[in-house]
This record gives sequence, C-alpha cells and structure tokens, in this order.
Amino acid sequence: MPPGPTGKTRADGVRQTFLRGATAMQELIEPMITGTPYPIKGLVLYGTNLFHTVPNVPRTKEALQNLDFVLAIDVLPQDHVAWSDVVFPEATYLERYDELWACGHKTPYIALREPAIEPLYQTKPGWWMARELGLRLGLETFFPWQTAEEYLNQRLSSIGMDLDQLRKQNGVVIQKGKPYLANFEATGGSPFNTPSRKVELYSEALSTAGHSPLPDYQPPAEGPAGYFRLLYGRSPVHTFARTQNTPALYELQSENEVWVNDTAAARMGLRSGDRVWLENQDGAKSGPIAVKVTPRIRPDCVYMVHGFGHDAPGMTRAHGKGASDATLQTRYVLDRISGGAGLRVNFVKLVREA
Amino acid sequence: MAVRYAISIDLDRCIGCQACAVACQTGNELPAGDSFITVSDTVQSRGGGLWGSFVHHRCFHCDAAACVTVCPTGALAKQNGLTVIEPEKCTACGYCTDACPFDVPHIRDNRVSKCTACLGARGRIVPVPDARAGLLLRDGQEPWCVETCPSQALRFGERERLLAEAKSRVAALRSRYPNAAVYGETPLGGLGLLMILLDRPDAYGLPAKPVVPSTLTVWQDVVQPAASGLSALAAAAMGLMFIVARRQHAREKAEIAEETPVGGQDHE
Repeated sequence: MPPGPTGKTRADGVRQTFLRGATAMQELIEPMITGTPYPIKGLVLYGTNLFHTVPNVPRTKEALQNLDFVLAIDVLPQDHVAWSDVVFPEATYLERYDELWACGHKTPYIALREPAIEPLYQTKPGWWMARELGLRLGLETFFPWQTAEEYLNQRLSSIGMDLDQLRKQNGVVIQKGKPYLANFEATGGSPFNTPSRKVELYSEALSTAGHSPLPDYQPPAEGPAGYFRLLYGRSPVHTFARTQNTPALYELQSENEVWVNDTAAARMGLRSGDRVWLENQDGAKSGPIAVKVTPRIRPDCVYMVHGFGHDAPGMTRAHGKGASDATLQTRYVLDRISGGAGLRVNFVKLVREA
Repeated sequence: MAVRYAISIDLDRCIGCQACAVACQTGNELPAGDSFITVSDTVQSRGGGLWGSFVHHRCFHCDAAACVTVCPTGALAKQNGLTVIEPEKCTACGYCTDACPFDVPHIRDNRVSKCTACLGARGRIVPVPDARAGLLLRDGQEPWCVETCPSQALRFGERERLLAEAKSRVAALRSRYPNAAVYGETPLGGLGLLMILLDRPDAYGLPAKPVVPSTLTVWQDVVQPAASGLSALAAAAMGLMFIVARRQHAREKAEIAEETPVGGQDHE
C-alpha cells in the first residue's frame, strides 16, 4: 500500500496499517500523546467537534493539552472550541461560497453554494481563511486567484461553463447517469474496482495483506451484569452533533431520550419521562436524560440519538440538554482492515436522577 | 362554485423526517413555540409483533368547519375548501379552540393560529378571482410542507383529483394493508386534508366519525342572525345563548371524550 501523498508514513495508519479509509480519526489521538510514529505539534480543527466524533473523550482532552498549538475553525462555539488556542469563527453556509459540489451517483450533478447574505459579525468564509493563511506562509503559488468566484469560474471552465450559466440552471448540471450494470457491460467495463471486477465475497487482496479472505464474524464481548449495551443512531431531525442548537430543529427535538425495553423498564420501575444518569463500565457519566419506554428495543440494550449532551455554554439552547453517547464510549474495537472504530462495545447502567 | 382545493398525506410514503414541520415553521415565519404541524409516531404491540406509523396532527380544513361556525367575527372563513384566517378580525375569544373536533386552532399572541394551507402571507386572505384560484398561494407555489416533502407523501391540488388519486392508491395498498382507507372523504362535509391511512382511524388516534357538537348549529342558525338584526336584544340573547350553549358544549365534549378512549396506544 502506498503511503500518503507526501510520501510520509501517516500517523493514523491509513494505507499502512489499514488497507482502506480516508482518515482513521481516533487513531490520531495516541500519536499526539506518545509522539509515535512522529511527534504531532499542532492541530487545525475544521468543523469537527472532537468530543462528539472521537471515542474516549478524556484521552482526547489529554492529547489536546499535549499539543503546542490548536486552531479551531467553526460556525458555532462547539464543545472543543474552548480547548483551542486560536478560534476562527466561520461564516455559515448561507453567507459564503464553497467548493463546487459534484455528485457522481445515479443522477450526476454539480451544485453551487453561494452566499444569500453578507457574513454577519466578524465571521469569514473558509476559502478566505485558507487563502490569507497561505499567502502569509509563502504558499502564494497555490492561490493564483483573488476571489471565490474567480476560483470557481476557473474550475467550471474545464467543462465549458461558468458561474452565471450554473446559476441560470439553478446550480445543477444534470448529466446522464450510469446507475445500471448494463451501462458498464456495454463497454466491457465494471463499476467495481476489484481485481475480479466483481463484488468479492472472497478477497485475494485481503488474503495477501494477511487478513481473512472471507468475512470473519467475531461475537462482541458481553457487558457486566446489570448493564445494558449502549447503542446509538440518528434522528431524521438532526445532523451529527452540529444542529442541536438550531432554533427550528431545537424546537422539534431539544434533547435525546434513552430507549429502554418495556419489560426491562417495568422490572426497574422506570416510566417514560423519568430522568436518569447513564454510567458506563469505566465510570464515565452523562445525563440527565429522559427515559423512553418502548417495545422497539431488546431487553439487554439501550439506545440513544447521537449528538446531544453538549458541554458548551456558548451553545445557549443545546448546552446541557440530553446525554452524550461519545462521553460514554470510553472503549472501542478497531477494525483491522478499514481502521474504522466499532463503538457499540460500551455498557451503561441507569441511575435515577437524585 | 369555486374550486375546492385540498392537501393529501400518504402515510405509506411518509418517512417521518419532519421536513414539513420545519418548512412550515420557517416558511410561515412562525414565532418560537408555535407550529401548525406536528409529526409523531405510534407503536403498538400486536400479536407477537409490533405495528407502527407516523401520526400527523394539523388542520383538517373541514368543509363544515366548526371553527368557522362559532367564530363571531369572521376571522375564520372558508375559501376554496380551505379554512383561512384574517388575523386582524380575531378577538382571541377562543371559541374555535373549544369547538374543533381535532383540537387544532390555538391562540398565539392574541390571535388564532393554525394552518391556512399557506394562503397568503402569514395566513392573510389575499383575494384573487376564482379563475386564478390556482395562484392563491404564496407566489403561485404549493404550500411549504408539500413543496418540501422529500418522499412525495404530501400533495396539493384540486380536491376531486386528489381524492380519486388517494382511492386508487388505497386500492393498491389493500393487498399489504387490508384496513387501508382514505380518511376525510365525507365527514364534516368532506375534509380538505385527505389522509391515506394504513389501518383503522383509531390506530392513529383519529375519531372514526368526527362530529361537531349539535349546540354549534344553534349558534350559527339562531344567535348569529339575531345579532345582525336586533343589536341590543341580540346582545343579551347572545350572552344568554352562549352561556347555555357553551355549558352544554363543554358537557357534550366531556361525554365524547369519555366515550371515545384512545385505548391501547403507546404514543411516542
């Protein structure tokens, strides 16, 4: 497997330890603390709330304290922003140009994001920050353009278009898609980037790399007695951990609930609306959170929507509302092939709010 | 007669994303805490398994609308089959909030507040000739909820056409859902919000046969005509009749509430 674009070993192990994956986010934390495979001195966080993205929050905080310099760029005063040395408040998506959105799925299109209003307060678009920093760091050859419009027009010129045309077409270029296998077979091609050009259940590539060539099921570890396996998922209302403070969405769902099986709840004397703290196998706590009694979950598991339990007073609505699954995920299991983290290996008990 | 318009909701297509509620609130610029649409879900244990559905609570735009009947000032009115509001006429008396069989209108900032199918800006009636009835809504657009729905569960259009479409949809759904039906074809003069239900109405907490308390017809047929002619006498009669009617209405409403329990449900 080739190393990263710079030719240097990547600290997160992607393309070295792991065969695939963009970034194994959680694997960057240990190198920040241990200095292996090389010391990491600084971190630029762009729109990534580390305390909701990476498991084992205490270890993440230790890593941040170990760095010489942390810069946070965000549209909101999220939890991690208070842990940075410098904050660049970014304009929201309604106030800025962004990179072209090119989507190559069933119906390929190119979408334009452009500002509806001028940025409020002292916020700036991300492209502006990148360019101004680049010029000051002697990287002006990477920024031969002055404005976002100029940059986007240059990009669009490669397909014989410009911004005005894209705007006239509502920012979308519809091209003929290739969603069916027949589209590829006509030219002898395949949509699957594998040696056999097929979906591979048995993979020689995995075998060569020292992995099992067939999917290898390993049963998950069981939790201690009296604890529930902590499951998490999404609500259609909220996007990750970033929309809980948005007024209209906050009104629809202002906090998460912990789903408890109805028979398990009856055994514990819990009713919907009761407020509990969740405490995991390592003593990490989050809450209080309202109980939702439902037959829709197994008796040995509890479930909650991800993204709540913000600890950020600047997030005036979402601060302190609900519980954070990330706080309760002090452990994870690593997928040796992809570098992905399996987080549903933590167990919690429910403690009534005092 | 003016064309009757309607909104339809296909609960087989609803994915419960609440985009309709968000679009409604932001599009109509509702103040924090107010909403015209709520989407919840219901789950019931049935046999050895579970049954569930999304539940929409919003104005049904009844043709014989109880809220319009009791409104003493004409702030609530019917237009093209939809129940609209002229807020400046509203005195916040709250009669509509008691009369509605679906518990929809509410008083917010001393004005009645509910869905008006986006007729006019912020629910104001914008009079347009019937010939242009298709352009009633904001800039000729569909209601915000319909325009936003990502799964085409919501539709807006002529009621007759939507009803026919809903019926053929139900016919197709019957093989999977034997109790599937269109809700709202005939009750209360026919509803301006047609719902394709996958089970009996009570599974959704809806009355099988929604009714308007009989005292309300007295209000419309006797008290209001009297008020228009004999103002002094009518004022006295109105006060008396209203007290009687309201007392009786409250009693009947309590009785109805007792008679139609929403049993066996686990609203989530």
